[in-house]
Amino acid sequence: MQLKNNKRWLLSRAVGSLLGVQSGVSEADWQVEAAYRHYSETDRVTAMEPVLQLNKVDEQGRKIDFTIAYDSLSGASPNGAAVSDQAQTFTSTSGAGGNAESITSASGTAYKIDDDDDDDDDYEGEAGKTSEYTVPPGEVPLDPNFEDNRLSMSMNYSWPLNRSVTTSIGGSYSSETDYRSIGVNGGLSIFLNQKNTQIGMFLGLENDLITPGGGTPMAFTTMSDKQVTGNTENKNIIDGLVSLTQVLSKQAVMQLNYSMSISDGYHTDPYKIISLLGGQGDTQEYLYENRPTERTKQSVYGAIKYHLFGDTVDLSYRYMWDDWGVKSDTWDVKYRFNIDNVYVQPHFRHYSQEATNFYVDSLLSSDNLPQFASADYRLSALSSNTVGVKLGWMFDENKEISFRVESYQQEGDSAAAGMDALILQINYKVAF
Amino acid sequence: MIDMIKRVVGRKGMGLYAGARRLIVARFFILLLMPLFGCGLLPEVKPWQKQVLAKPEMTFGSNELDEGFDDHIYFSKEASSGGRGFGGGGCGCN
Repeated sequence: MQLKNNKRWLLSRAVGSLLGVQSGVSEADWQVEAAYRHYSETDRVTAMEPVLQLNKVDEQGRKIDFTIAYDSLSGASPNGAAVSDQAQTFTSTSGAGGNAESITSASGTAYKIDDDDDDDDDYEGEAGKTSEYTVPPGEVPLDPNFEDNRLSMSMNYSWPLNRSVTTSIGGSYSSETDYRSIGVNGGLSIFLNQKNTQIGMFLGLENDLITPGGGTPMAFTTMSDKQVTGNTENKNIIDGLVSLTQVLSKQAVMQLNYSMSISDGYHTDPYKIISLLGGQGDTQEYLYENRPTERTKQSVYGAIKYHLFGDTVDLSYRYMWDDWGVKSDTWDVKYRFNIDNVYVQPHFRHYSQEATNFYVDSLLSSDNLPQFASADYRLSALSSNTVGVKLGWMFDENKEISFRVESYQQEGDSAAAGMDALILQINYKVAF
Repeated sequence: MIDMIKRVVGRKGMGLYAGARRLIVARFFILLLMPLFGCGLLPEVKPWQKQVLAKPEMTFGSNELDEGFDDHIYFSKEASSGGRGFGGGGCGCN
């Protein structure tokens, strides 16, 4: 139950729906879009994600938007431990689902799979109900028990106050085995210069409740003698975003955003551990990680869309930094070839980040413990590339079907960063 | 403004590759910010001249499902989020 996030999606969508007012929306009353994405990492996680979205725009320009999404994730996920030349055995509380068969050396001690009658494979977490797995020498330690299901819903409503101002409010909710999130948001868009300029301001508030399986591990407590500090944790987030959208010509429009996110609460991943090494490089123990309780992220984002020779070019760049030491660059380019009622859209994305200042590959038993430390590869220096193509066919005036296939690859300083995934997606959209 | 951009994208210990990247980034933002310094340079686009701009693919936020899927994946695999929309919270994994 390493976690993924739906909330960002929902909030982004809420902002996006208001930013999108600039150039008009579909004139149809209702639009329904259904999509399914299959995400599959080689030897790791597989995710299946169906989504349904409904929106309606009325004659006054008022827009209402509902989205419901479901995620089902399973597979193996890096647990944070360093690669070793010895076989490593771990205790897992991150789930006890259908992958139990892959555990190579389950001990005779506490061990449980989900054999209840409630039709799910969730971790039925109780302290002391754990499993074990062994990782061969030289391999990245992966916890094979990663499994989770998530349901999320959101709603957004925007309406014009007058010819120059549009406002919006929204709410969202998501729930998974060990995580619950509730958010509200609101925004204001001001149109200037014959609607060639749009200034937007948005605010979002969110509360997250985390209930780690097996309890919240005490910072740097050992895996073999896990101490817990409680069963539930909280996190509160305030998001702010200001946006400028400017029409550049009859064929070009740009957007420039600044955003800030202040998060206060539990940021630690309760399932991630760190190898504690002795003087000979031998693994002596595994410690639960510990992250700061506050994080402030900021980003500047610029995007431009050109209509060129009948095609559409979409280019964007984001620079993000935070008080954990992360600095990242993200480039994204899409080129859409429009051929009658068919389009072909190649896509390339490049991302690179510097490590957080508390990222470690492992800790040494001869050193004092730091205040914060994590061996989660996602906090290390890494880069990733996405290459793909989307094919769309508008086979009726108000109907469109599209397919997308992409390859997502990561590499970085950590051995665990070596990952590649295949993404397959189908969308069907109808307006009536 | 240029100094601010350089400060934003600047970092210690940059090699030749990073230096070139910073230059590209700075030029990209200059391109984006040009309208702010000289709106007079921009043609005034009338409402009836916005047929192309009204196309869904020319509208920011018109492809929410795809963008939502992407943000969902990248948030869970990378230490960054936000920019296009909100960037805060929702999960303890990053």
